Amino acid sequence: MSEVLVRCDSVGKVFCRDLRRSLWYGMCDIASELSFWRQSPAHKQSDFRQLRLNEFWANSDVSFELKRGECLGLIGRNGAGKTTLLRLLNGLMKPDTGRIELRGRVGAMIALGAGFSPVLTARENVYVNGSILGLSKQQIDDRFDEIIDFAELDDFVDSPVRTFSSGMHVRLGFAVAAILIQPDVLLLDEVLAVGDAGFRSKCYNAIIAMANQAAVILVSHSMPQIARLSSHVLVMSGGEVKSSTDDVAAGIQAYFGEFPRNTVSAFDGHGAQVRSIAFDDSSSVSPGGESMVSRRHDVVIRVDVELEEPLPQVLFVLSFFDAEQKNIARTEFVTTALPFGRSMIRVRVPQFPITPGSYDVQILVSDASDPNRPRHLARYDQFCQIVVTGTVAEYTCTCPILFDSYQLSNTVEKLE
Amino acid sequence: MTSIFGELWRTRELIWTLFCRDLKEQFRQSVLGYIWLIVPPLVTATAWYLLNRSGVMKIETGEQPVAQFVLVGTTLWSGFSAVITTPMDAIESGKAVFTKLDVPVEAFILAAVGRAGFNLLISSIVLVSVLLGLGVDTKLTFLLFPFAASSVLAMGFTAGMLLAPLGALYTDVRRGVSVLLGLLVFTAPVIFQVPDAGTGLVAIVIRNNPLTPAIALSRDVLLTGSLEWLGGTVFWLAVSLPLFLFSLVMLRISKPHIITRMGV
Repeated sequence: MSEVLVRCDSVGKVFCRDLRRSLWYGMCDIASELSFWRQSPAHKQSDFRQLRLNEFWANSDVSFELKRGECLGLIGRNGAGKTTLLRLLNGLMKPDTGRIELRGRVGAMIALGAGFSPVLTARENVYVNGSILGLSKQQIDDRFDEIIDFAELDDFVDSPVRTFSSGMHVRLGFAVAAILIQPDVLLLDEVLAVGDAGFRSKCYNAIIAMANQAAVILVSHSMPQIARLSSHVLVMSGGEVKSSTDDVAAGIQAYFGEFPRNTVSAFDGHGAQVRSIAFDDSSSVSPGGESMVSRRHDVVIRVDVELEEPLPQVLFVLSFFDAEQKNIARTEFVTTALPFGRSMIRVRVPQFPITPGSYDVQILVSDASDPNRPRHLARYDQFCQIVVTGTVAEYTCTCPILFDSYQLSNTVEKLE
Repeated sequence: MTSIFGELWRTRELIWTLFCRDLKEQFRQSVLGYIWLIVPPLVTATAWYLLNRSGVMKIETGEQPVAQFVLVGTTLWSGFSAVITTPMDAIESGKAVFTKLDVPVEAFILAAVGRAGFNLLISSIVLVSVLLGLGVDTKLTFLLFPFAASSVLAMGFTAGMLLAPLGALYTDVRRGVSVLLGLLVFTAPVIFQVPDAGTGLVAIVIRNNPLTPAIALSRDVLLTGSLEWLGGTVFWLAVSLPLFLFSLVMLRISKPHIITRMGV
């Protein structure tokens, strides 16, 4: 169960930015390969390749090994070369440098419902799609009912696919692929969960069932999915492997580091100025910086603030925003009297509850002399970022707050 | 080479499925359905027949009646024109699938060619019925018609396959072929006879056109029973075969390059 199924050895792929030129290069490549065909059928790939005008490395020096039962999470920002690598692995394109070795059947869940003909019925399309995936009519016959059951489309088996909603369409595509292919190497590109909430759990279980028997390469922008499935993470950036690690949490952290620091944006500034903020023992960060926080640790937050007038009490509001700019948590505290000039305020957050990820911190400073009508002194929409770290299990959590619960007893109540 | 044919053999079921899909898809949204296969050749033939009878246009056809002559010619030519662009069109229309999944492109092309062949078959059946209706005394040589007609298709297919890799990269090829077909029709005995001994450029071109023997043979076996062009047909078929095999290899080698340049 542990033979190496996928081996990538310093794989590189070159693309061209200019379409016309790209087509011309394509022609040259075909011509040169045709002329070399007789002499060397294996057409040796060299390890070094000169770039022609307008060319760039879409993938360069990518190496990894994957055994059966393992899952490689491929993460990186858009355009980092993930899909290119997947297409190289799928045998659609040939690498310009390096080698790819694959053992066993390769199955890809990439183009769900590719080749569906809109005017044909679901039944007809299942057969066509299955056939494209390389199955015989007999094999599709045997599993046809299972596919329709899975897609929950019993009533629409003989309706033309173009009357389907996009959700139904992708459900059918998923069902065909998930039920029919039994790959040794499974390639997944953002198709872990499709359809509505109820269908997703089903998708997820189907993928797990396939993944247990195969070496899986998974491309996803959902870090909880990556954390849940992957045994290894490859972070790509600009076509190169930025980080390759068995420590999934560290890999995901590296991915979060890919995003550019947001610049601070301040409003008002009359009356107060926040100089810096520090979480825990890490050094204090000035506006635009980044700080690390360990989840579930007791965190001490230190705020360095400068006031233009002494105030009896000041209200601080810290709000945390996730990557989608959703406000996921907030904490506030009212200080005792603060003097004119700089003060350092320390507050303690027990068991820091936010799940691992990267968050923007918004700071609001108000004069709370009248607690019912706080007057804004300063507001920083993106003062800094905090990166919350935790265990791999905590990375799988899709919601921002995860709190503990403990079993107290185990009594079985009988209902009369 | 063996691996190419091995794979084609393994994908025969896929080819069949795709062929059926195309066939069903073609007329699913139409009331008249398969009648549309018959109408175009009939209309073309009628038009030519009327033109000739009214004397607007005189076509030199020797002793053979005009209607039959033109009918056979245009039927074959429409088959040829369809099949020469088929490989390119099949690659273009199947793009969504084989830029994402590893499937044999050849299967998509063969299925499409199968459909072109099927369309020719239907129109040939119409053709033969019309000929019988027009009172042509059919010779036994008409049994050779399928062979002669397939030869026309085979040559068109070979040409299309040779153009396919280039055509998948540049749309110029597809456009150029469409334009050229309008010109090429005059370099083959489609609507007029093979000139016997002309010295003009056209006459020379026609006599040396690889398509000429096959088209002339198809017509002769139906109308006159002459086997004059059999030798020429077989010769050009023999020339096409290695070219066709070469085109298969070329397609196989070009495929990853084409996909690289096509993008997603």
